[in-house]
Amino acid sequence: MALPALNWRMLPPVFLPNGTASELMDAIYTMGTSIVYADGSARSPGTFASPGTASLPASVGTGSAWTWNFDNTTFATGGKTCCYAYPPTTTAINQTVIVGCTSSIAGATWLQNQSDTRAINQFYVGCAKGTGVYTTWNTAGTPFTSGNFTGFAGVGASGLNFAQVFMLESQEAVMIILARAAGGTHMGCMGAFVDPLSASTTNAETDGRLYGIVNTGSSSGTGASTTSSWMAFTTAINDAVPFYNSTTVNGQHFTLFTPGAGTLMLSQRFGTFTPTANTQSRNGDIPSIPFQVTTSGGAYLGQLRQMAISRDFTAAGQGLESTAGVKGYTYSASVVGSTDSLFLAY
Amino acid sequence: MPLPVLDWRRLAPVTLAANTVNDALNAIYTAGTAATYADGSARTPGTDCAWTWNRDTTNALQPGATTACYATPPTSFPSVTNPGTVIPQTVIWAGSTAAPTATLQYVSVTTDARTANMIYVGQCKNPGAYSNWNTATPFTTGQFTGFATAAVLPASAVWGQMQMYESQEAVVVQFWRAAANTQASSAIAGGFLDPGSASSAVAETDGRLYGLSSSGSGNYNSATFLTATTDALFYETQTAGNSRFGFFVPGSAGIGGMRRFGTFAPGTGTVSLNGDIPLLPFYAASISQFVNPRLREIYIVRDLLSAQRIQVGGVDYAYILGANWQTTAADALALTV
Repeated sequence: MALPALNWRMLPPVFLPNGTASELMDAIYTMGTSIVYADGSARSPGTFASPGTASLPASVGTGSAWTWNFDNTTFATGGKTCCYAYPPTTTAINQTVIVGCTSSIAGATWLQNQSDTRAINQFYVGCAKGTGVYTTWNTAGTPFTSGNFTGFAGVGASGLNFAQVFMLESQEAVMIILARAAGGTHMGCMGAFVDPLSASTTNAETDGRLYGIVNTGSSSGTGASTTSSWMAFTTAINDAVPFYNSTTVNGQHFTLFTPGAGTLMLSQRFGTFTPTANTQSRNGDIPSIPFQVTTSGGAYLGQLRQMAISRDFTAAGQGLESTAGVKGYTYSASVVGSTDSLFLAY
Repeated sequence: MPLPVLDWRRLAPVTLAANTVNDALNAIYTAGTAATYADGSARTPGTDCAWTWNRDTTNALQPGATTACYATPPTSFPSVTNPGTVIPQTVIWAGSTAAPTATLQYVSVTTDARTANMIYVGQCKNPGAYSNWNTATPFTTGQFTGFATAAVLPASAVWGQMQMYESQEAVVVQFWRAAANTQASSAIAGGFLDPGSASSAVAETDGRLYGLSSSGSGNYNSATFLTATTDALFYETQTAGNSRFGFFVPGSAGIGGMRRFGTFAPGTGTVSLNGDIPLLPFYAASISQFVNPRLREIYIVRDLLSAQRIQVGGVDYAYILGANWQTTAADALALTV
């Protein structure tokens, strides 16, 4: 039995004039508190009684809107170094997604995904389940008062050569795409974006979901942008093949919580694909082909939720419309070149 | 709008009376006229999933021997008005000890050869009455795919058994090698592709795509046919005698080449954490016609053997169409009941 269909929405993209850590965090918080989506439709996030102060939300959002808060005290940079969000759809698993980026890492001890390193001006993503109130992201355990944490995985290289930020959100997952000035993209996705298609508590959490994160990495030092034909690659490129875990330190990671536990399952795309811009019907219809996931050892885990293999597109965050309105958005390797793309259904 | 769900059935394997092209065809006819399925349930040609088979035993190429078997689909399928009147079709397997001389051969860049003792497969939409397979029009009217090679030559393969699967709109025929050999040759014909659209640019007027696929005659179906680009069921190689996968361009008699969309390397461990066997959707992509159809109720599955079955609660849920039929599990597809 498939989980409820997610509805992906895109926030208005934000440009980063200087590409600083605090600017990136400000951009994410700004998007996360927006009351409008990129297509002009209304957005209703929840609220915190005192933004910037750790607490549970006073109210949660509706539809696909997450409720964001921030931390501007850890590392004392004078700006935000962490943003975290609670979903509009609450299940027994109580997930939270969290991102971090700081210009100072003095005394840094935060938990890293797969022994990655900690670096200044590096964007990190993580996901927690069984969470309570936020405490601090600079801890060797979970940033929250309870639960399990994936650890932080770095998206792209340190140094922040990012010019634009896209955020897409659905009821149970958030994707953040960072675009370089030259057009290449980096991506982190957090939450319950894999449907195990099974209610077995061996295959799924008690709420029927799988939780985790996926990111493009930074192991090369420059953090190669997403590879244009990333659906055809495995681990030959350790930075830039999303949805295919690399055990290389600071590489691309794809980890999901083992159901009922705090351990992580290394995960990967099932199959290789070589779509092109011509991978569409003769009448122009765009295919939406299910994306399956296994462990690195080959055990089946599930299917991405309303994230499908599609034709190559020229942009990340591109909206696809029909006469009936927006049908969804893309995540692709570039905002300027036609590359392998995921289609996130509206 | 997805097409109606097909229900696949499995006939009992038929042992070939002799390793000849004629007895290979006789085996198809025997299965096609069976009164029961492999699970013991009743089978009535013309109803449910049961096709109605006939054969040609008077062809001038080899009078007195079976040189062709052809079948029309059951007419009781409730989809006859979804989305339009279902296009009539016929599937045909043929061959003789004498090389055909006037057959229409399957073409995708290259043309499959006319060869003595070869087993061929073809598919016709809008067929009239059967006339003669050794002509350009085996049926008096309609559009014909041409004959593609459907199996390795009997003399090389030493075929032992034939396995047939049928659904309301497509038929699969697989030949198994005798004795300890594990390999098989496989072919499918009919309306087994769902283009996912009723647009006349993408689909026939009934929303389907018609055609055939074969693992060819150059070699047995690859044990890794979900990865392979030669000798691979559901992969058009554009090479004579190698694997073929062609479909009628909607509204025409033209043939377009099709290939599996994606490359997959399942193993025996491609199961869920609790041991459940996932059935993964299987799509194709045309080489140049820009269609991405889904194979109808045909799924990628963990490595298994042909004719194995997946049961849920003691009831058959899917039958396996594998590269191998015994000994070593290899790439396989599940055809759901």
